[in-house]
Amino acid sequence: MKRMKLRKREALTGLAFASPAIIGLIVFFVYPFLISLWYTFTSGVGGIHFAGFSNYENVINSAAFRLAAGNTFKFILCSVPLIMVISFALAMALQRKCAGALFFRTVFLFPLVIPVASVILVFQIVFDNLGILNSMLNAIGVSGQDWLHSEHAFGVLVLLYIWKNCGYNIVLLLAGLNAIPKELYEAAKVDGAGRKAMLLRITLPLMVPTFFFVFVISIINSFKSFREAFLLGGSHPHESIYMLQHFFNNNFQNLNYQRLSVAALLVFVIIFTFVFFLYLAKRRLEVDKK
Amino acid sequence: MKSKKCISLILLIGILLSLTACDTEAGDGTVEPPTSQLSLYIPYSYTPKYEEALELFEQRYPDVEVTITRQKDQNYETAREEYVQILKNEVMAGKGPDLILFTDEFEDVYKTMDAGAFCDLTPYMEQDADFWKEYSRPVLDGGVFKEKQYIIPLTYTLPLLLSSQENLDSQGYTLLESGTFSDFTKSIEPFTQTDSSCRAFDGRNITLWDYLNYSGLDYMDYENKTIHVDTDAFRQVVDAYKRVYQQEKQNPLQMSGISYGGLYTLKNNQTLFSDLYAYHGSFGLMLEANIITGMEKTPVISAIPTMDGGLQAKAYSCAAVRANSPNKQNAYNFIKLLSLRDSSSQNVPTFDIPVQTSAAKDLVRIYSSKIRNPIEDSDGITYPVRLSPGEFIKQYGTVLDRITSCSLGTGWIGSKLSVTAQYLNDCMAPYLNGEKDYETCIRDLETKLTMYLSE
Repeated sequence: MKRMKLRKREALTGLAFASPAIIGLIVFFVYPFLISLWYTFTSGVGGIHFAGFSNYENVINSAAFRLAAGNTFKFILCSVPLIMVISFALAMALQRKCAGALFFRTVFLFPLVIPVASVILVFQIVFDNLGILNSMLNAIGVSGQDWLHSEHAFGVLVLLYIWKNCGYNIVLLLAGLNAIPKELYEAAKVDGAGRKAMLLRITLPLMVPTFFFVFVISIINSFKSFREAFLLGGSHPHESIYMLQHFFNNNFQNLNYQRLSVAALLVFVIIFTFVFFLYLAKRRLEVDKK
Repeated sequence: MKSKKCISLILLIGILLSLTACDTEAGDGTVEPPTSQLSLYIPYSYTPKYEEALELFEQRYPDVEVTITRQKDQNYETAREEYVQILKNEVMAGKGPDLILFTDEFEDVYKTMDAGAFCDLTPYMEQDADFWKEYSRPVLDGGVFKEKQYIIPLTYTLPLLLSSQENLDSQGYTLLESGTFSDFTKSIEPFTQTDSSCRAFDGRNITLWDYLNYSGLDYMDYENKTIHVDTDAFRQVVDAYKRVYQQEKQNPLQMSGISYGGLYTLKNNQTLFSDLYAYHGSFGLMLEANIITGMEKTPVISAIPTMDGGLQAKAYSCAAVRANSPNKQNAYNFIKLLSLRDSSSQNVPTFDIPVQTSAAKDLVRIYSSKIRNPIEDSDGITYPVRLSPGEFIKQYGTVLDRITSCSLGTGWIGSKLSVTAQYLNDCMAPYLNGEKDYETCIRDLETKLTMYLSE
């Protein structure tokens, strides 16, 4: 009886501590989400008419939505694995404590603190039609490209994303690498394991939780690349960098809450399913290890 | 397990109940009875017109309590930005003023109508058919979308061609009083060559969007979400614009300072017609016409015709009622007062043309008689003015009678080009500059506009 009371009190205390976060979650996430869900079935400003599934039909049939969704997922597919590989390689290099490692650790974090607008300005100076890159190419006899208003814009955006977010991933991966006990490597060395074997048998398996976290963060950050895409190409950029956020933003400008909500909900469902399966895979991997 | 099932069932019932609670198509096709309330927001730039209508409204509907929010005096750009935010945030959330007044505040007014932001005023206007008989039907129809009158244009502009008979005679040009856009572009062809000493008009501010608008081509079908740019008519307009564009690019018009519209160029035989952008009609037009008369010349007027020989107006100030406004009838009554341009309105000079046909014709006569003092421009040149001849005013009336259609949107959102105008510029620039072939550019444009419409 006494134990029950104590449990209850502990639960209440826990709830009291967690309540600000829970209230915040309900007010800023759950409630707006439910409103958005409600909007998806209505038409007209203020949500006054019941529209059934027509909004879903409209959005799914919309060429702009399909282009935006395709580009966004293409962007994730290209940029996330790339940033994972690059940042892991750099983290490994920095962990070796080579000359200037500390300096580079700081330098890689610079893009995170530089305002996006300034970064974009630099990218525009470099990749503009009359920019540095084209001038350099012209100097060596190669004709330049319109990097920001052609298919190449996608590549520029991927580069910008990697440059901006690589530092953060390096910090996270370095923390993961440092958490691996040194004894494991020493024992492996004694057993005659080479660098490749140590990487494949010790580092990679033990880094799975960190990889998973960095992977999710990278996906979230890739969705945040809208600011960069918007500053590079405006509200209607070249088709190759027309992202889901452009679709949301432009529908917001035209007061079309319904389409905006449907698109957001569809994206939520896709991401939720993706992350759900990712978690399942991670759990299975952990169970297999045990 | 049982409780989980219970919660799921309750949630499902809750959702179904909330959905069925929706009023299907509430307020559409019916006239809602008047209420005792009206909420207004008076934007800074609309103040004179609004205050005048407000006074009339309070006299005619003393039982209606009007809640007014006045935008404080501030610089035009800041005021505009603030008003845009109010329209976007409040109207979108189903709140804000009952009545919405706008010129170029919405990014794309057709998309806003499609989003269901405005109330269908068709039944209200049908009830008042006699009142609207006084108004230009083609211009009012500009506010119809999917057979519903969501917007009532209050004023409009026209691509008016103002000149003096003496100037046209000296250039050997005969003013077309009828004909199509093709006839017009053909007639001005000698004046759109890069080496011609006298050009058709000042082409510096004219965009491809404007030219397409003058032609009346319906190349963007918002209702069916289709694009019609791959047509012969479209190419004809682009080619006609290319001549004006190339002329301006290769041989820029030399102007000394800012004069009254295009009078400077007219006076110096640099152009056939005065600046298309210098005036929109009404007051500005009469100012120039009186100056031409003051120069002992005969003012003449026409307008750029559409492809089918009519005239396309461009709605300027527009009014709409918020879709879920509880005071629709009162807001509609207020729009009627705003649209009135009788002799009592003459104290507020309009540079655009009122939709009320008789007022549009009367106002130019009133303005002409009011502009009597010599005008001094920024170069210090004084222009004597004289009352324009009655023949000119009659000619102006004939031009107004030729209007056959009206478009919404100005091609500009504040000081930046609208998305459509920007796409036209960006995609067709390589063709206009002779860098790419027409087909490549048109395919690019078609893709972009299709994407934009499907957004």
